[in-house]
Amino acid sequence: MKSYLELKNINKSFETEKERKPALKNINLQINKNEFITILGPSGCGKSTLLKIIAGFSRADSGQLLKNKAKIEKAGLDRIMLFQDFEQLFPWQKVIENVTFAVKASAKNNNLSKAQIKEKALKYLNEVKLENYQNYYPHQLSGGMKQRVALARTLAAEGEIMLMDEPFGSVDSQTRQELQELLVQIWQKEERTIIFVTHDIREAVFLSERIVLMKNEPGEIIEVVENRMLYSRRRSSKEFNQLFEQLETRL
Amino acid sequence: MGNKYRQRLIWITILALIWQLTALSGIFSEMIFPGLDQIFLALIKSFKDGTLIKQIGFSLSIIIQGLFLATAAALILALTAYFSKSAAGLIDTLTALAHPLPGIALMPLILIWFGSGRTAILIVIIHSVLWPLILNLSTGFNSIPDIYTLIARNYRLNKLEFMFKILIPASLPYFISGLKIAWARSWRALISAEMLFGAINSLGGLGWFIFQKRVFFDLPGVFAGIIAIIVIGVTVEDFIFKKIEVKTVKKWGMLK
Repeated sequence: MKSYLELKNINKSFETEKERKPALKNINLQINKNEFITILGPSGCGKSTLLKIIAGFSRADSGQLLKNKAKIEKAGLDRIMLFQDFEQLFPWQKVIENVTFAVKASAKNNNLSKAQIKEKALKYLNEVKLENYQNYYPHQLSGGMKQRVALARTLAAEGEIMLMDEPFGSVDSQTRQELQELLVQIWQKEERTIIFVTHDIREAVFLSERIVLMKNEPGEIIEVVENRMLYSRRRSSKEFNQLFEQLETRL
Repeated sequence: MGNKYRQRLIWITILALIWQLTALSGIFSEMIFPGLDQIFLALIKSFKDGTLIKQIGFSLSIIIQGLFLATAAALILALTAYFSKSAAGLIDTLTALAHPLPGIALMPLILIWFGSGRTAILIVIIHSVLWPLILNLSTGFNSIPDIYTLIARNYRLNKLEFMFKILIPASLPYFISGLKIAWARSWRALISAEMLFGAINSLGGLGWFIFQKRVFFDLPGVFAGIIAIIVIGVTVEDFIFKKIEVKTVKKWGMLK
């Protein structure tokens, strides 16, 4: 169970005109299977860069990324990224086709029939409560609905790990809260590990079991905070606000 | 939309009236400025005896063949350029050199190398279509959002899947506008090539049809040919391409 996903001594710097600027310094982190962990920090702290390294989109200058003790270097279907950008959906595909895209990609080797693929896609559309919109095109949906479709696609790949890069950052606060609730429900139902990047303290407190606090220049982990509050969490509860304040002073 | 066509109809009617009045006024000789009645009679006559239809058929069959071959070649070249940097350099250079070269400048050379048959006309058409299509396709491929390539890596698509599932559909707006340019340019190239290369067994296409009418000083016949060219050009641009756009990029919200 322990040390499912391991980040060991990860360093990353970016070349600017004058100097090499360190973006991530000595990142060590252990992530457990099926846990919900958020990476919380101000903009520019390298949290998105860290997620990209975990996704395999970008390589660390030094350090290792291990899953079940095996080194990971490339992007793969076991770590599917959910982006913030609404553009992540394919406009030329209907909602259902955007989701079957993931089913087909992950089922490449075990032949599924057309009906099975569709059934699977519908199951995940159902989970994000969009089964009635399966024949819409993305441009006909609101921002929040687009992100729900993208979430369904991410789920439909059936990778063990889901990486989320501020996926609800571009929707209004009402919709954001609804999406957060939906995500917690889904996470409780499905066996997935979620690594969620955000700069919103309340979002981190509401969603995750552990919160990784990061700071700026260079991007470093300050502390990993356990969040033992029971689901489903109430934003107005005393516990919630205590943790919020505690984190706020730490950042 | 309806308004646009109504406006167009009104203006065509007004212009036709002015034309007819000028013809009736007798300022110019009937020989060089025929009335619309004569032009339409010539149009109907050429339709009835089958000559015009035969030439239209000839022209359209060459242009469709040319567009098809050029589109296939442009797709292959633009895709190669997208995936290979060194191929991109070569294709880019070729396009830069050949794109500004008007097809008509090549015609004497083509006449010597390939004679004056169907092949010669086909080559002129392909030349006029290939380069603008490559340019448009390459621009389209290079302007797809970065997020798509990340998604392709994340979902482990191979090159072929990436091409057909993402790259081509994502650049379809550019592809269609390239085809529109291609159509317009090939239609012009075709008519001039037909005039220059002449006919084989009296089949020489619409360009040849007009040229022949001029030889016999049959001006109503010349105008009948011109009207046929205009009608076909407008039909393809306004109906066929519009339809394709409405059914694809407009429906997908990729084109406003």
